[in-house]
Amino acid sequence: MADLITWGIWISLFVFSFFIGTYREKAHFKNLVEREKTLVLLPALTMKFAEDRAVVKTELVMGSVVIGGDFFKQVVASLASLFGMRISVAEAMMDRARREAVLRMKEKAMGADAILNVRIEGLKIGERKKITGIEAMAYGTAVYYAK
Amino acid sequence: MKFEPNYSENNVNVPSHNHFREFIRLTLWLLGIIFGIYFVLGYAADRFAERLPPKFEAAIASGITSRFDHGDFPRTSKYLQKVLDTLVTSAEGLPPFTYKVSIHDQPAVNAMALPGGNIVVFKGLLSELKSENEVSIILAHELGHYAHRDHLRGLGRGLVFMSIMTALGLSGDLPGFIAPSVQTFDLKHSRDRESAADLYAIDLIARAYGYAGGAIDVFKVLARQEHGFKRPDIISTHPDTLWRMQTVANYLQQKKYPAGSIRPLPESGVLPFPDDKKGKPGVVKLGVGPS
Repeated sequence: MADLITWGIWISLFVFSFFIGTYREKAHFKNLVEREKTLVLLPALTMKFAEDRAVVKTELVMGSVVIGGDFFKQVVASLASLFGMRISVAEAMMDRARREAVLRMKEKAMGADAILNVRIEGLKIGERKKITGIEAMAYGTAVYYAK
Repeated sequence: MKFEPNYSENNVNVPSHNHFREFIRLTLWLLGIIFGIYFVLGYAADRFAERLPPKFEAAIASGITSRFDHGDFPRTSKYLQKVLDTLVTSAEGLPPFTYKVSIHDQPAVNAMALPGGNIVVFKGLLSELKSENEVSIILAHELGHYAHRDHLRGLGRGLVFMSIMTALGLSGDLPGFIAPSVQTFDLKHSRDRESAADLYAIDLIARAYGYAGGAIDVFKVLARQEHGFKRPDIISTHPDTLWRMQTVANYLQQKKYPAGSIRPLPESGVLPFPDDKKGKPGVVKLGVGPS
């Protein structure tokens, strides 16, 4: 009987987190695409010097985000790690985090002409093999050119 | 250098959004590997158990049996031992142990064959038995497990099962659901062995007493117990009792064993015998036996 209860809790948690997680992920991706389209005019580049124009102001800008790994994703990730396969659930999480971080960085730099020398860093949160969450941070130098 | 804004929705970093399919694929892989390991190691453990020398078995047995050896109900144990000794002298194919029976003071309707020839009968089962025929069937059934070396087989498979689970437990928080599914599979194995032990028991009591009456009655006891708490067949260790009764009845017919007489229990006719408990201080048992 105790086995059945453990089973039941496990399965319902798993199913629940699958549906919620999938819904949240889809919504986030949709939101990312929309915001990326509106911010596409602000270039975020990895180069240190882009245009040969006089710079009047520079500023450090960064955006960071932490995305939680739900129960479903943790289970699938630990399964995939047994066989050394691509962890596609983590790929999706990392992609969301990086793009969100870049967007937040761009939103921080509103009014700038470009963000130069952009770097993106990622970090796993959680003990041992557990993926409690992942953090992505994007930072760069916002540049204001002379008009 | 001129910056030209250009946006593409094509996402090369996330090739698939179908995480569920990914999960199914990985689970099938894992289950396949686990079943493979379990089959191979389980088979090896079985073969090994069959060849385990009785001396070695007796040595490892003491650790397991000490938990049950309380010496409760001395007179009842003595009676059971007498029945058991009768059976052992006419039994065939038993490993050379000193067979001992002890009573475990638990309400469960169960009996166990522990390594080293130690049979444990639970008090719950004992109190349901109405004749010596039934007592001997129960004991002969457990002897059947020894003759088929089932008690060790379970041990070997259990060890393999535990090892796999431990290995999985170490590699992340892996599904609790894999454990029950493997166990369910093993119960099927255990079911066939129970049935084999039943038939061995019939043969044995027919040899020891010259007749095989009362065999079906034991299953009626089990059936009564299951009434109201019937687990689905697939997760039950012992086969559906009705099916077991049918198999035994068919076997009796086929072998043409005479039904014979019912041998009553000695003394007051109830087990365990009244006033036969080494009383724990402060525990007063009421309503046991006729007053």
